[in-house]
Amino acid sequence: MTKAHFDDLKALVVDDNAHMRELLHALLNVLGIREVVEAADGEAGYVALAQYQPDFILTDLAMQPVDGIEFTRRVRLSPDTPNPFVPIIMVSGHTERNRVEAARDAGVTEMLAKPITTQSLFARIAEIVEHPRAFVRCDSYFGPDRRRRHGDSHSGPWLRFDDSAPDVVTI
Amino acid sequence: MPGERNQDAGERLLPNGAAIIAAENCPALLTPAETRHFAALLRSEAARMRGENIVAARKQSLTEAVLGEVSGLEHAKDQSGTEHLYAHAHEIRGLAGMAGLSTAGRIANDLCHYLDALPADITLPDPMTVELHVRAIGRAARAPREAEDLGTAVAETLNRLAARNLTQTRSAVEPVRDAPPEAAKPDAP
Repeated sequence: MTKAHFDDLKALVVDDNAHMRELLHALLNVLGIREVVEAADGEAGYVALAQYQPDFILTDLAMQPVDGIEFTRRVRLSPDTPNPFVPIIMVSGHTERNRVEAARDAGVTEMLAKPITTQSLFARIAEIVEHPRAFVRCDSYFGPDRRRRHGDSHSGPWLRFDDSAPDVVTI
Repeated sequence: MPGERNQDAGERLLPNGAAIIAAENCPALLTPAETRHFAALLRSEAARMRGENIVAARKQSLTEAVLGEVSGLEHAKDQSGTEHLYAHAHEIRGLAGMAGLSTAGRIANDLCHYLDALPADITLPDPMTVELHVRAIGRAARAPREAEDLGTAVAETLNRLAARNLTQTRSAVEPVRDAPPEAAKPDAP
C-alpha cells in the first residue's frame, strides 16, 4: 500500500549476523524508519513477512537453513506468499558473478555488496522508492524486470538465441 | 505495438516484441510528493553523516566480531573440508570494511575467491596457501596500523601465490580428466 509519510514505511532485515542486523536496523532508524523487524534466516524472514507486512526487505545471501536466494524465491513464487511484489535488496559479501546471477534470477530487486557504506545503502533504498520496477512473468521467471535498459534499436522478437515465445499473462 | 502499453488490458509489451507481460500495477511505496521528499533525505549530506556516525559508534563491536571470526578461521584451517574456512572468511570480508579493517577484509575476500576457484573435485586446498592467507588475515585484523603500510604488498603476494597454486592444481587435475577410459586404452605391447 502506498504510504503518505516515509516514516510509516516498515522494513524487514534478514541476516544471520546479529552485528549486521543491528547495524542495518540503526541505519534505517536514521532515515526515520521506526518500524524495523529482524529475522536471522530466510525461514524466520518468511514468517516475519506474513506477520508484519514490511514495505521492503534487506536480506543477506548466505544463511542457514534457508538462504537469501531460497527466501527470495519463496517470496516471489510461493502460493501462500503475503506479497510477491515486495522490493528485496540483497546485501551480500558474495560478489562472484554466478551468485549475483542466481540472486537476480531468484527475483531480487537490488544488490548491495558488503562491506556496505551508508551512501551505498541509501542509494539502493532511493532506487526502490524512486524507480519501482515492473514485474515480468514467463515460464522460468517471475520477478522485477531484469533489464534496466530497453534497446529501441532492437526490432526482432527475441533477444537471445534460446529465447522461446512466452505467453501473454495478465497479472 | 511493441514497447507500448496496452491500456485496455493493463499490460505493457516489452520492446523486443516478445509478449512477456509486465505487471506494472505494483503500488509505489510512497506518494509522488513523499517520494521526492524521502529521496532528498536519502541523498542529503546530513543523513549520510548521521549514518556514518552510527557505523563509527559500532566500530569497536564490529572489530570484536571480526576478531571472533578470525579465531574461528584459525581453528577452521586445521579442520577437514573447506566449509567452515569459507564461512569464516566470508563473514570477515563482510564485516571488516565497516570495522576499519579493510586489509583483513581484502585478504579474506581473496581467500574466498581462491576457495571458490578450486576445481570441483578438489576437496583439500593447498595447506600452505591457506595457512599464509589465514596468518595474514589474523595479523591485519590484530595490527591494523601495520596492515595499512604493508597490507597491499602482502595481499598482492598472496594473490600471486594463490593464482600459481590454482594453475598447478588445474594442470594436475586436467590430464587425469582428459585421459581415455581404461577400456579404450590400447593394449600394452
